[in-house]
Parts: sequence; C-alpha cells; structure tokens
Amino acid sequence: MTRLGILVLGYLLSVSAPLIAVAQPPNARVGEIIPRDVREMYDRGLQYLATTQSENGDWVKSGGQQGPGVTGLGLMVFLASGEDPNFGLYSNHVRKAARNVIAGQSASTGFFGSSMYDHGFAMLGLAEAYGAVDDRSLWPEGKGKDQRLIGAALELAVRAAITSQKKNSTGAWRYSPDSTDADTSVAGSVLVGLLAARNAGIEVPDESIDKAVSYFTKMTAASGQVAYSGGLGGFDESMARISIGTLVYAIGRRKDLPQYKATLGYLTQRVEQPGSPGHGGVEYQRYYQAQALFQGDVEAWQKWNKLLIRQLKSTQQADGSFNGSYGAGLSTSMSLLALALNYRFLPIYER
Amino acid sequence: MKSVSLLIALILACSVASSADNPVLHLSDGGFVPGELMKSATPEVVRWQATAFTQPFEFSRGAISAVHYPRATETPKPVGEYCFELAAGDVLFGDLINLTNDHAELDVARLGRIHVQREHIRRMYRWGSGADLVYLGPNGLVGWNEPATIKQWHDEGGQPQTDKEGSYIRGDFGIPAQAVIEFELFWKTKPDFVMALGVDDSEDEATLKRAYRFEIWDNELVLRCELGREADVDTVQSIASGSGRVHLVAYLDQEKGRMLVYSPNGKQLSEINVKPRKVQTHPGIRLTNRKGDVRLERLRITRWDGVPPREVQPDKVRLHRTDGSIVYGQVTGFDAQSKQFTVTDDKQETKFDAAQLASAFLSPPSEDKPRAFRVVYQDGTRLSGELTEIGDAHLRLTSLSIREPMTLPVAALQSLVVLTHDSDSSVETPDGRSGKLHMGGVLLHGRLMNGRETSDASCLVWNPDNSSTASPLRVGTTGRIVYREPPPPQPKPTAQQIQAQQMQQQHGGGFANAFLKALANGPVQPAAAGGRRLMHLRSGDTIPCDLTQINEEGVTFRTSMSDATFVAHEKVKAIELLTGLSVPKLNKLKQQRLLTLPRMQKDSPPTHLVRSKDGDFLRGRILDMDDKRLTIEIRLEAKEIPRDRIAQIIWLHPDELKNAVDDSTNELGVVSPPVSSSNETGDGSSKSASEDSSPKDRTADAVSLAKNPTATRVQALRSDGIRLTFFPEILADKTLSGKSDVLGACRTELAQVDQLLIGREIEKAAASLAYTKWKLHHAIEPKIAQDVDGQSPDGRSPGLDSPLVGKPAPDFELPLLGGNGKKFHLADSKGHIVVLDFWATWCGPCLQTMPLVEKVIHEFADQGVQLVGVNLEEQAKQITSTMERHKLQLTVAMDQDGVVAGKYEANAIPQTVVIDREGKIVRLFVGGGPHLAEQLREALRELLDADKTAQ
Repeated sequence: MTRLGILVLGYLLSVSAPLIAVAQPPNARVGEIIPRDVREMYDRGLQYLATTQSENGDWVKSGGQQGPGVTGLGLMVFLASGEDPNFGLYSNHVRKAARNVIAGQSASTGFFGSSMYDHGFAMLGLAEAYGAVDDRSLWPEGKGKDQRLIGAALELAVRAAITSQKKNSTGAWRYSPDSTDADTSVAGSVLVGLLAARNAGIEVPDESIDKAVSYFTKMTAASGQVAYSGGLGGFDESMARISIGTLVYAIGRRKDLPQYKATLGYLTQRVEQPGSPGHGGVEYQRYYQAQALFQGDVEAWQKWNKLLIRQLKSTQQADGSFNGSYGAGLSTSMSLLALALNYRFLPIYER
Repeated sequence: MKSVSLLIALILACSVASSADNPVLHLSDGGFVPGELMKSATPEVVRWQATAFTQPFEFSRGAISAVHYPRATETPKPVGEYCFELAAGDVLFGDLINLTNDHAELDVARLGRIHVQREHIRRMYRWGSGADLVYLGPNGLVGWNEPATIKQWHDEGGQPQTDKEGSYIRGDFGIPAQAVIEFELFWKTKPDFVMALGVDDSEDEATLKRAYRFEIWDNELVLRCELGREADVDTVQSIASGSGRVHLVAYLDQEKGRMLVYSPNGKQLSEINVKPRKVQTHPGIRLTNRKGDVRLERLRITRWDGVPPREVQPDKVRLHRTDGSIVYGQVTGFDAQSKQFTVTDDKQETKFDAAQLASAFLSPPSEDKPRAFRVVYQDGTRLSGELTEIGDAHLRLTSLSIREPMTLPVAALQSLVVLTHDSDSSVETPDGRSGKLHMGGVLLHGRLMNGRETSDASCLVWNPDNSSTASPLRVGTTGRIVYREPPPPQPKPTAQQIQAQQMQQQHGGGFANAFLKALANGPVQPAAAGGRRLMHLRSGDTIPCDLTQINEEGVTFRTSMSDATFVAHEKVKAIELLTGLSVPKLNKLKQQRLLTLPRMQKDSPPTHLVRSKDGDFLRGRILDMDDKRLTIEIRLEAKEIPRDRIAQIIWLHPDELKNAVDDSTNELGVVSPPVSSSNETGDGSSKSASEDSSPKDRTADAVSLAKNPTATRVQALRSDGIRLTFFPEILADKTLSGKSDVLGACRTELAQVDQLLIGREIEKAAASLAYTKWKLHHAIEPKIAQDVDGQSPDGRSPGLDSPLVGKPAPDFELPLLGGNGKKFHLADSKGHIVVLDFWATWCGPCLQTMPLVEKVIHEFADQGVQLVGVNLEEQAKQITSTMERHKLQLTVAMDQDGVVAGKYEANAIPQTVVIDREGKIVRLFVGGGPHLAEQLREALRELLDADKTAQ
C-alpha cells in the first residue's frame, strides 16, 4: 500500500475492533491535508528513531529512560506514521520493537518490565499493533518458548494488570504490581493500556474498568484539576494529569461524568496557555494533552495543535530528535505521538 | 539627572579610553584623529598614520593645531638643580655651568650642554628636582572636565580656551592646604571670567561660593571668598577693555582661610581673610567663562611653607635667598668651581654661595618674538622655535634663545603645538562632496574619493581637508559620514500653542477632531505629500515598495529600486499599505498596554500588529495576505480582514521580546520576570541548529545582514527619506555601488546622501528608530511565581519583603479557642518571641504548613518561643473539629471579625509572623511551602543568637 501520509482519516473509521489498517475503505480518507511541516517534522523524527533503534529493538543508544514501555511508545510512532507495518519502509523496525516488548514480559506473571508504567505503555503499544501487524512471521521459526504472539502477550498483560488491581484497595495502580496505594499518573498508563486492549478485542471485565474510572473520579476536583496521589485533591495544576483524566473518561466511554466535563473544560479554557505539566516533563504533558483535546473537543485541539506544531518546530534537533527530561529516545517518541493526532492512524485515537 | 551625569561620565570615560593609547592629531578646522607621527621629507608636511586608515595622510603643517600624546600614568619629574624660565614661555630644567653677561651655559637632560642667550632668561629658581612641584601645565584639556555634553572648550595650542558663555572646566590638581598657584589668563575681546581656586568635584554652586575666586567686576579684577557667614573681597587690579592678560601668583592657605596675591615679579596686589568654621582643603580649580572669551596659558601649583614672601621692589633685577632676604643687583657671574654667584649693584660686587639662592630675576620682561612651533614634554619642559625636521623618532628644532640646534626625542612628549598658521601652505582641495567623517575618537572634514573594496582596505577612501593624500578606511571600522546634518529636534509645542492650534482647528472640523489631532492619536490621516508606501526593515532600511503578498516565509513586494521581490520575515519591521504614513503615535499608557504580552501568551506571542485605517490596532499572527485579504490568527483562530481596511503592519519579533524584558527593569523599576522557558523540552538541553546561538546573537544576525563580517557595510540615509543598507564594492563617478541583501545590486549617488552610516553604526542607529521601539514586553509575573525554591529573586533572605518587617507588631487582644472567655493579649507576651500563624480550616496550604510550624516551635519551646495560631473568621466548633482531625495542638486566638488579619495585612494565608522580645516584627512569611520550616528555624536561631551576644 502506498503512503497514506497525505490525507488524514476523518471521523468515519469504524469503531469495531480489531481493525486492520490495510482494510480501511478508501473512501474513509476524508479530511484535511496534513500540513507540510507536520509531515516533515514527523518524517525527520521517524528517521531518528529508525536509525537509533538497536538490533534487539530498543532505544538504548539514545540514552535516557528504557524498558518495554519506552519501546512500546516507539512502536506506536511507527504504527502511527501510516506506513504499512508489514511491508512498508519501517516494517522491520515495527517487528523489532514488538519482539523487544514481548521479550520484556514475564512468561509466568505477564508483567512487563520494571514498573507498572512500563506495563501500561507496553500494553498500549501491543494493543495498537494487534491486528495491524501480521505476527505469523514475527519470530524466527521454532526458536524459544517465550516467543509469544502479540495477542497472547496482550492477554497475559491484561491478566497481570487486573491481578494487580485486585490486590490494591484503591482499585488502581502504582509503580509496583504489589503496591497498595495508587497515583493518577501510573493508573492512567495502565487504564489506557487496558482500554486499548479491550478495543483491540481482548476481554477486559467491565468491573475492572469501572473501578479504575471511579478511582479517577475521586481524584478529580470540581475545578477539573486532578490530584496525584491520596490526600486532598486539586491543589495544583497539572496539565498532564488533567489530560489523563479527560482521556480515561473519554475512551472509557464515560463522557457522561461531571468529572469529564470539569477536566475537559479546564483544558479547553486554557488552550493558549502553557500551563504547568505538574508531573513529568512537557513532552509527557503534550502526549496526553493532544489525545485528551482530540477526544474531547476537536476545535480546541485544532487550535492547540497549531501551537504544538510551532513549538515542536522550534525545538526539533537537526537529527530529527527532541531533547527532553526523559532522554532523546522517549522524548522524541512522546513528541511525535503528540503530533500523530494529525494522522489519526492509531485505533486509540478513534473518537 | 543623576543618570544623565553618569552617562556623561561614561561617555567621557569611553572617549578617553579609546584615544588613550595613541597620540591624537588635532587640526585647525576642529578635526582630530588618533595615529602615529611618521617621518616626513619636509618639515612643512606632517605625515600621519591614522589607526583607522590603511595609508598615511600628509597634512600641510599649517593645517595642524597640535599633536597630543597620551599622558603617562605617573608624571615624570624633570631633573636638574634649577628651573629656567625663558622668553616666549619656554621652560628648561638643568644645572648651571657658566653665566656671563652674554649667555648662560646649561647642562640639560635630552639636550646636553647648551648656550642660552642671557637676555632670554627671565628668571631662574632653585628646582631641587621638583620636590615642591604639584602641577605644571596646562597641557591642553588633559586633567580638565567639562560638564556639558557638547564640548565648549577646546585646546588652543595646548591651552584651554573658550568663547562660549557660561561654560566652565573643572579639574582636580591636588592643591595642598598651603599652596602657591601661579596662573596666567588671556582674552581676545572682553574678560568676564571666574577663576576659582579650592573647589571640590561637585556640580553644586555652593562649592564655587566657598572657593577663592578671581572675578571681573566691571573693569576690576577682584578677589572674593564666602565661608559661612564670613566673606571678604579685595581688588586685585583694574582691567582695561579689549584684549589683555593677567599673570598672578596666589599664596593660598585653605586652613587659615587666607589668600595673598602677588604679581609675578613679587609685588603684593591683594589679600583676603575668611575664618573657616571647619578646616577643609579642596584640591580643584574651576574656570568659568561668563561672557567674552578666556584662555588659560599658565598654571603652576607648588607647595608653600606658609611664610608670606617679603616685600620687594618689583621692577629691579634681584636675587631671593633661601632665608627670604633679597639682594638687588645684576647677577654678573657664576663660578662653577666655587659655586658662587657674583652680584653687582652700583658697582659694588658681592659674592654668595649658590646654595643660598632661591631664585634670581635675570632680565625684565620684554616683547617676545612669535615662535612657530612648540614642543612640550611630560616633565614640563617647553621649547619653542622653528621646526626643521620630522624624523622617525625625533624632531629637530632651532630656537632664538638657544645657540645650538636641538634634536628632540619623540619619547615622553606631551604635545607638539603649531603656533603660527600660514595660509600659503594649504593643499589644493580635490573634487568631491565635502562632509564630516565621525568615528570613535575621529572627526575629519574631507571627502570620499574613488575606491574599490579589497580584502584589507575598504572602498571608502577618505581625503581629509589639507591632506595631499587620501586613504581607505580599514575594513570593519564603524562610524558615519555626515553630509547634511539632520534638522534639530522640533521643540515641543507649548500649552498655548496647542491651545491656539485647537482654536484654529475648531473652526473647521469641530472640537473633538481638533482634540484628537492635538493628541496625535486619532485616525490615520494619509498625508497629502509623500505618495510612497514604505517598507521598514529591522536594519533601518526604508524602501519604497508596493506589497504584493505575505506568506509563511516572508514578504513579496515590488519596488522601483530593483528587481528584487522578496524579503524574509525576520528582516522586516514594518510595512505601510497607505502612502504618507508615519510611525503611529499613542500616549505612553496606551502604547504600553498594547505592547504588553499577557502571561498566558508567553509561549505563543503575537507576531504582528495590524493598524486599521481608522486607527484601531489588532495583535496576532499573520498567516498570509494577498491583494484582497489578510488572514490573521488571533488567539489560535484564523480570521480574515479585507486588505483595504489596513493601513500599516508592524512586525513583533520574539527576540525583541526577550530584550524588552531587560528594558522593563530600567523603565518600570521593577524586577523583571524570569524569561519564560520557551525552551519547550523542559530541561534546557535542546540545541537545534537555530538555537545554538544566543537570542542576542540571533538578533544581531537577523539585523546586521552580517553575511560577510569582514566586508565594509554602509547604510545610506538619503535626502528623499530612503535608507538603504548594502555592501559597497566600488566608488566611482561620485556614486557608491554594491550589493544589498534584500535588493541585490544597488547604487546611490553621494549627492543624494545626507549621511552614510558605516559598520556597527547601522545597528546603533536602527536601535533608535521609531518603529524599532514598537516591541512587546512581558507582563509582570506575580510575586508568588517568582518565589522559586523559597528564595526571593533578588537573593535576599525570605520573609523580609513585607513593609511590616522592622516595625512594631500591632497590638491586639483576641479570645482564645476553648479558653472560657480567656483572651490572648500580645502586649502581655513582651519578653517572649511570638510566632503568629494566620490560618483557616478551609485553607489546605495552612493545614499543610501548620504541623511544620508547630514542629519548629516545639524545638525552641524551652527558649521562650510562643506559637499562636490566629484563626480567621470561623466558628469555634468548626476549628475544633478540624484540629482534632489533623491532630493539631496549639493555642488558637479567634480573629472573628478579621480585624487583626487586617492589621497584619494578611491578604493571603498561611501567613507566619515572627515577633521579637521587644515586640518588633522581624519576619513575615506568606504562603507556607516546604521551605518555611527551615526559614522559620533560621529566623528563630538568629534571634536567639542575638540574645546570647547581648548577654
């Protein structure tokens, strides 16, 4: 299939999952022309990630944060590019990344990597790849017992997340799978991962989603601000956490909640303002803010997106990377994924 | 006012610094240029290699006023037993070898043995290698300061001179408490000066009053001084009208408040006495020219032992002995062997030891023949005569007074002064438009000659007036050539004029219209004249053109000046879409408001300011514009405006914004907010190609067109209002041709040019252009946001910002929580350190802070530190339940009506106030936060330490 890069998909994408990108009807390609500078920026970023990916699929070479979650986000950047994941320019990079994520999973518990952050983002990455990447030839033939296919790995991961949630009285997650407390940042990554897996056709019990969403509603102040962990809610402005809140309500199909209106309102009223990330770096904020605004209010997203393009344009390095608090690898992936809403190729971006 | 004088001081310092390393050639036409004196073939020509030029100039000697050499840091003291004062003001230091009726043989450093005509020696005195000398001069304006920015005094043959009314020079010459000050003043027309001895370095007129002043009253020279209630005045001598001079010796004792004035040959003329209330010695001299003109020709300051000179018969030749006694008579001989003088009076011959000689008057003054040239050394040696040779490192001079021709080294020179200016020797003036070349430390009248740019010489070739040669400027120099001076700034119309104007306009157009016009604030009125639409670039270029299109990259235009059609956004400052517009004028407040960037737009500032025909302004980001409409993004939404509504567009560049932050500190006197981290990647590690250079560099790049910094760059300011920056390559046929970054090949006739700016002068001039001043500045950040890491941005220790700090704590009495009617009265706690914590149960940060405060106070509990929580306007029940829930145990005073909070200006809580044992507020913290505990602990420790020291 030729590049889809010129056109973006409108709102006609089917909501039924799993989706195979190549199966999209041609008449679905309705929408605006992607701005040239977005394409150029995204391509240069892809080039950077493609050239710095190591043989075993991770981004150790570009330093900073590493782990299955980081690889999972890198995987999503390639999937979101619109290139054919099986035969296109980056098909090898896609497979390397997918293998790396699966290799980071415990065969017995299903847990990815060192923290539940990893688990959430790895799960999300695999969920987006599931169905789109033809995994029949993902592994070299007949080698090793841990060479799971994407679907199997995803099922295992979902089970791990639910087990962890059940042990946690808050109904959410924190760094360790055995944590007894929770925070909205880690919980957001796991919950989005679960929602993506459910969208991809993996069975996720409603009870699990409801409990996690209910944790978020407790952490959301009437102002729309979302607290970090425990204690009194809504003391500070964290655009990242407010965006996470908006996003989980939206893709959790809970737009009916007053908390959703509050968080979304908080974001849309401050489209022009830089705001305080409040949690993590600005690229973490943008990664979530892009999705939250896109899911919640396309017009607001369009405005915000202009600003994003301008800001990223002025900070992209000559080699296509973005520097940031997480090191070039993860910072580049997050920045590009914030931009990827312009393409709307990932199922998780469906509205 | 202060800043102005500081600025002047800076300018002075700069100008001194720039010319400090090189001698400066001064021309009779007022020009000056630093450089080096070169060997020349004939003494009629002064060859001068100026530092800013590649080739030497050859000036006719008559066009030269003087050469002044930089002053050595320590004035060299002349050696020799005697100082000889000769005719024509010459001064020599040396030893006396022999003395006859015809000549004196002297041994002088630099010159060796020389024979000086006896009748040219006015006076000789024991020098003792200058032990008592404090100052000997003058040496031009060196050591003098002039307060005015426009120099009104100039150096006339090494002597300060002026004919400007009310101007003065002042210098600190280190006048000791007891001093002899000998000076000579000359005037051409009419004297009206004040020569004040003993002034300090203030501009205050009172210092002048306290000084010992020689003044002209009608036709008398008087001496006066006023110290407190005491004052004294005495006449010195009468002054005839017309040209004249005074030569006086003043014996000044500032401690005793006494000054005696003598004529140079020893006759007492005047005396004043004022008793100083407190003894003060002021080391300076100020010479004011009230009217007419004045020139300071001589100034010598020596230490004085306080013993007044004896009375003398001033007209007679005589000797003063070291014991003060006077011997009248002609010195007729000197025996070098026995070191004895022979003095003859009425044929009676007496001999006495040279060691007893203080001074000798050898010949009465007579009319001196004019000399052509004078050499002054830094040690005070002065010689005048005919210049016969200019060598590599020496000069040759013949003097009427000295038998031997002299070879004088250039080393240690102070000045070379041309005394006579014969007009015959002037050089033929070449063809070309005459102008003035200004550079740092250079002013040369002259003209540009044909030239061609090479790697080491500019195509700007300057031929100064009276030089037979021309020289290219060095590449990379900075300056300007002025052909036509800009008109002086219009004086601001007075209230009456405005009123008159309004009255006039009222008849046609109505009052409102007139009012608006008077404020220059109304709708844009295209002027009838002009008929051009102009584009203004950041470099200052002003180009007549028609705007065709604006797109993402820049501006497309049509101009009659070249085939070029495009300029990038980063170079543009403003574009006028109507003819005959000028820079918008708004009142200061409106303009400031219009150009203030709200904090929420910090990261996406508007890039353009669009002005409508009706005078409205719109800020935004222009996306594109064609012949029909303008698309502008306002608050991230694109809007369309018909093009024909637009009068003007001003570009607001992000790098200007950063500079504006710096400016705001000066303008508003407030601490500017930290520059927002527009560095979006968070940790400042981004280094894209465009970010490698600092914002300032980028500005410079954008503005300076500095593609090739080693090439000459000029901006022509043409009389038709066009300004054009380009790299000139060739000057021929009175036309300068080169390449412009924007317009490509371009040329301009010198006849059309008012000024030619060279090098960095272009940016300097551009910075003061009217459109340049239209730039955004950041809104002031709220204080709380600046208070990062618990440190005030100014580095002061926190808790000291409130105006209440240092003041007595307002006393109050409040009921205590659960106290059954008991009250807390602050005055009762005198002798204790009291910490008041203002709080409320609804205040989350208060509840976070309170345990921290409680913990700190607990550490100091046994040292008389008392914590009282002052609750704001809440019910006892609610307070108690919250305290129980949070397990807080502290004394709470209930400020039920908020009166106490008002007294302590607690507009934001938590507010924690520390009161010392005397009842004075020593710290006031607002906002709590994680740093509060440490800051509070620190404050308490400080107080307790002070207690210990006191004990």
